[in-house]
Amino acid sequence: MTRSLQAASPAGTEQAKISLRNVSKQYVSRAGGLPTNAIERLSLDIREADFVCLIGPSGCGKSTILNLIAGFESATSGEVLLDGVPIKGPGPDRGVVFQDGALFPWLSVLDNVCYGPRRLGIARERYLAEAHDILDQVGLRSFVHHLPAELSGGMKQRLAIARALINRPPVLLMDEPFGALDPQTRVLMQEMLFKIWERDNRTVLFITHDVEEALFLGTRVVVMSSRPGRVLEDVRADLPRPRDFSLLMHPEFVKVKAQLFALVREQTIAATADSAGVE
Amino acid sequence: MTKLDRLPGIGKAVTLPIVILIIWALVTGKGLIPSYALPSPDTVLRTLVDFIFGGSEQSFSGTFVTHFLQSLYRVVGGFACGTLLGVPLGIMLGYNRKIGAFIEPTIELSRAIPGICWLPLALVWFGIGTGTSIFLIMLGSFYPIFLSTLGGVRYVNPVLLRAGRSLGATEPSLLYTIILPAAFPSILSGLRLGLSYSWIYMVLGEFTGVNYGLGALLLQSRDTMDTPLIIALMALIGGLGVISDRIMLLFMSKVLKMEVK
Repeated sequence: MTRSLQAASPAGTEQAKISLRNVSKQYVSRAGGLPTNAIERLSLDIREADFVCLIGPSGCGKSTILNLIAGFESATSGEVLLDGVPIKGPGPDRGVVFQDGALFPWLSVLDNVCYGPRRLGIARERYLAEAHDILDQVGLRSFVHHLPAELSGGMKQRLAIARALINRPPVLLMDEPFGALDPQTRVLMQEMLFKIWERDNRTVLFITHDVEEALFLGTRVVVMSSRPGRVLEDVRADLPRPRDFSLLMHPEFVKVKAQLFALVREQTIAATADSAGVE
Repeated sequence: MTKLDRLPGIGKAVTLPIVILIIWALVTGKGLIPSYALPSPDTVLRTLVDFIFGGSEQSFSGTFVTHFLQSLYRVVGGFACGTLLGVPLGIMLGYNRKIGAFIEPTIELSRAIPGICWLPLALVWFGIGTGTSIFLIMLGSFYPIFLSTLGGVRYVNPVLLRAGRSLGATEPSLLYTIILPAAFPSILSGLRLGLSYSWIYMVLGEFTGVNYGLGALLLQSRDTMDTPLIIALMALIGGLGVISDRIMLLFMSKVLKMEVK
């Protein structure tokens, strides 16, 4: 959090935690085809403690945005800033939860969680207590000595979240973390994640293709266009709290969900027509 | 049908060897094949016991340990050299594609030369004996070890590397906390392959006319037309290969238990 202090905005206006300014990302085809514009001149500000859900048709550059902020990739043009400072590469100040968990299969549940603090040189007695505490919160207390392969899909993602959270990153980036889970598990995971967020107020960027999930979790839902990705709609989602499954039946929720769904559907149709034309 | 299905795995595994043994015993017992070409199984077994434990007037009687230690020395020496060369080189070139581009094509090209072709040159360089054997074994075990290590390191799931970096790992710590553990199964299969090649090249190296060693004795027993000893040695060398593989697997599973966290 010290970074946000040193990088106070000069004009005195509120400084965005994460800021993308006119960002374009082009992928060069290895087979010699035309280069693809994943996103084009995209600007997006994410304020501190925002829970931003990014939705859009597949291939619209959602993951590209996450990868740019995580520092896994660099922009072809434009600026990607964290606390006003250009992002140079990945780092522990931005925790990432991957689509498939990306757990270390040779390490036990406990050692997966302890991986981060060990790299950061934190004292053993401190991180061990914390690791047990976090595993407790995500309901993996009795699985500390299991290997990731012995866990169910939902447990794997909970472990992935615990592993990212233990470093206390000011920013949490999540790339369709619940995409592969069954609907029941999914709702439980969403409730758990929302609870954790309400308590710590981290800045979260959450990617999903599920409109309902985006509305359920986010304080803000950003809808992207089909490729090349631009911001199409930016909705504040000030829905009642605490958020649990009953929210899904709330009339306001249903109304906004229908609107967003129509919007994403439109873009998906456009994306499909576009790729059909290319082929 | 159902009775056969209920046979345990080990039972299924030994069925064919037993059938072969029975046919072998029948064929040799009836004198269908002259004994100098194929001695009976019990002759071979008696020769094997005699070779290992002694008990007859034969010159090879009870000399197993002497020959075995010579061969083992060469196998271990050559395999150790192949490993010490193959694993670090594989890690380096797998990790750094820029260096790899300079060295890899040369190694690939040199691999096209069959290992056996190095024999005459090895004899010129090292003379008849242990030096040549160790050189050939090193060469034979190097390629599988190097290639498996290279592949294992190069094709580590990039998402795991991203996860490591965003959790605070520095580049050097990525190597020992993610790349090596992730590549370990691949490195291990390279080592296993390398060890089995070591036994093959041990025999080749000892065929050059050294006095002691299982391969050397194998060649000598051809000169004396001692077919029982030839077959006994073949079985013995094969068995030692299997045993050494098991020992290495055991050792490696211990190493795996103390892997870096």
